[in-house]
Amino acid sequence: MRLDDTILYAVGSLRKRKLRSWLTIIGIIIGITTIVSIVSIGDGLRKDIQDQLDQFGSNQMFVIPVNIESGGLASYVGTPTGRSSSGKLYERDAENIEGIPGVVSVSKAVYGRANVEFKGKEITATIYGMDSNIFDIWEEMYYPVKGRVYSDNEKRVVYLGNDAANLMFGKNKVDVGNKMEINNEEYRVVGIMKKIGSSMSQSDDSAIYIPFDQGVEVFGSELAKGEVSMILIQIDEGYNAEELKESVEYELMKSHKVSEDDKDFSVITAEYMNEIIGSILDIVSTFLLLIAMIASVVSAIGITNTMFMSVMEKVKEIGVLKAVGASDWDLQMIFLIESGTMGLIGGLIGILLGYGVAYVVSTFGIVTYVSLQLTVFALLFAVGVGIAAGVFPARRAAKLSPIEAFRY
Amino acid sequence: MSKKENPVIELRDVQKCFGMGDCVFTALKDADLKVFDNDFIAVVGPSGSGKSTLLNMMGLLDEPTGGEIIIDGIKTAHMNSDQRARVRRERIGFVFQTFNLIQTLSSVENVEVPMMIAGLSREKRRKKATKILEDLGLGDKLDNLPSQLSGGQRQRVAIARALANDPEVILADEPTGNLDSQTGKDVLDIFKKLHKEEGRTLVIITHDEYVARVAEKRLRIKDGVLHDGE
Ligand SMILES: Nc1ncnc2c1ncn2[C@@H]1O[C@H](COP(=O)(O)OP(=O)(O)O)[C@@H](O)[C@H]1O
Ligand SMILES: [Mg+2]
Repeated sequence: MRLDDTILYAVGSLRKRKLRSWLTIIGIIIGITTIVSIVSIGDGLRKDIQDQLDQFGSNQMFVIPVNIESGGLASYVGTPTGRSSSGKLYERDAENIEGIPGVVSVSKAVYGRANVEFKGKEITATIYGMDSNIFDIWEEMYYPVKGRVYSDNEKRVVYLGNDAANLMFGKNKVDVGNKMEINNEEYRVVGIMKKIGSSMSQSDDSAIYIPFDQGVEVFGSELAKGEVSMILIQIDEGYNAEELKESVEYELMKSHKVSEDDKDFSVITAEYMNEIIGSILDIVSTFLLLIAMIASVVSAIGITNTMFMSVMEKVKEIGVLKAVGASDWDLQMIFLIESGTMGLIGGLIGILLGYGVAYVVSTFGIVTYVSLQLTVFALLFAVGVGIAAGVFPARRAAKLSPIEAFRY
Repeated sequence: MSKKENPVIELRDVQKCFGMGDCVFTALKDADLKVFDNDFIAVVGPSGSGKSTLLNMMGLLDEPTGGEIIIDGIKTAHMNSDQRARVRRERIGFVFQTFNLIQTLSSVENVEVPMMIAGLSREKRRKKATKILEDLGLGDKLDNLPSQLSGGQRQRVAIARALANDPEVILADEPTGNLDSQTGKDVLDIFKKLHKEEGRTLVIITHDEYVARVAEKRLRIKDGVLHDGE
């Protein structure tokens, strides 16, 4: 049989059995859409975390009052206020660090939850009291779309995350120059940040920033005298972050009077962050791979099932074709093209729908990412599984004698 | 030419049993048969006597469990499935009791199938299929699906398909079995004409004495045993 005739025959037979063909294709679409949307959510999560990591430059590090290595991270992350039970950092720690050669600047932060009221609507929000030099260090992230950032000596001023300004107070949008109350004290809005937009930084988009001294005023009752929640360090380009980290640790151990083994703080560099988050990412990746595999197996079973039904309906036709002289190769090619075509159509539509689902999911604030690899994989999977699921039963049917096939 | 001397189909001691592995039931016992060019043979026997089994052996549609089937002087015992398919495609035309048309294809497309498998170009096979169908009086039914045809018309399409690759022999298994007597007669007239006017070699299998009478030579089969005779 000639190849062009084989193709025409296969495609013609799909078109002549429209209902069955579409049922089979829908089976494939469901499978592929499932794979693409699930994996896109996982990949989105990974990419989002990676993007966050990349934002953190190699000439920055920060200190938190918890020892990550001794397993304190979970309890630290678990508390929204960032109050550590294991240790504390102080303003004088920041001053000490500033004296270390290679440190360009140090910024202190206190943060916690506080009541915020705007035009009669009262909410609880995360408030950061931060030294203004942080806005220089992460200039790109903290860039104002409206107004400006504050400076350290200003009183009762607030710089708002984009969601904090536009979403958190319902239909009332906050504008530069507006007044709002934090713990019943009136503050003036000086600027609004551009939207960061990634899910991990949601807290940043909805965060409210005030000068460090104001933060101390707001959270004073919760903090020990001179206590800070976090210290951010900007280092000189010429210095090695890992070496400087050791100097910082040495300085802090000395003033906290603790040994290497019972440190009550962690100094986190980009490299260190990559290390911890990288290991988390590995777990996430393995988990996602597992989910993708389960989704693939489930959809492969679905595809195989519909394809099998579709072939079974044609056993008699296979018998007729054999009786009038079709070779096993002819029959295999016909079914290869039929099932491959259905796999291709189902795969393409499934991928498009998968993109659609990924987009819809992303409008709920979950980052999704349909990579080229995923697209290619999904297409190959659809065609591959489609062909395998179509050709194997067809081969079995073709092994029957025409007489046996007629009986179906 | 040696072709004229050899029987078109020769069966030597052909046996066919059914059953998994061992011979549980012998449907055809030591059948010897020669079909020569230009023969018109009827094989008559009651239902269950092994007629279809015999025809399936002659047409290489099923494999014997013993004996030899020789087509045009070529032994078929060691042929693989594709070689057997090729013999069917090039040398044998089949007509079945239940027509066995492909339901999704029109009359003309059904007739084209054997030619398509043989690799004939689209124009050539469309032309030839149309011609055969017209000769059989179906010129106005070319584009009908089998479901849009009467039983007699379907069987004529099936006959047209059997003729498509100019086979050396046409094997028909109860070709009138599913037809009323008038359409059955029409179909038999076609066979007679094919034999008389075109010199076709035909083997018809039937349980019906009336059908058998159109043939020139009759064989009888009972309980899987083939006899000569009227
Ligand atoms: N695949 C099969 N398995 C078992 N027995 C069969 C099979 N095919 C035919 N037979 C038996 O072989 C005998 C002959 O069948 P068949 O050749 O179809 O008879 P006929 O065509 O003369 O009616 C019958 O008894 C039938 O039951
Ligand atoms: Mg029969």
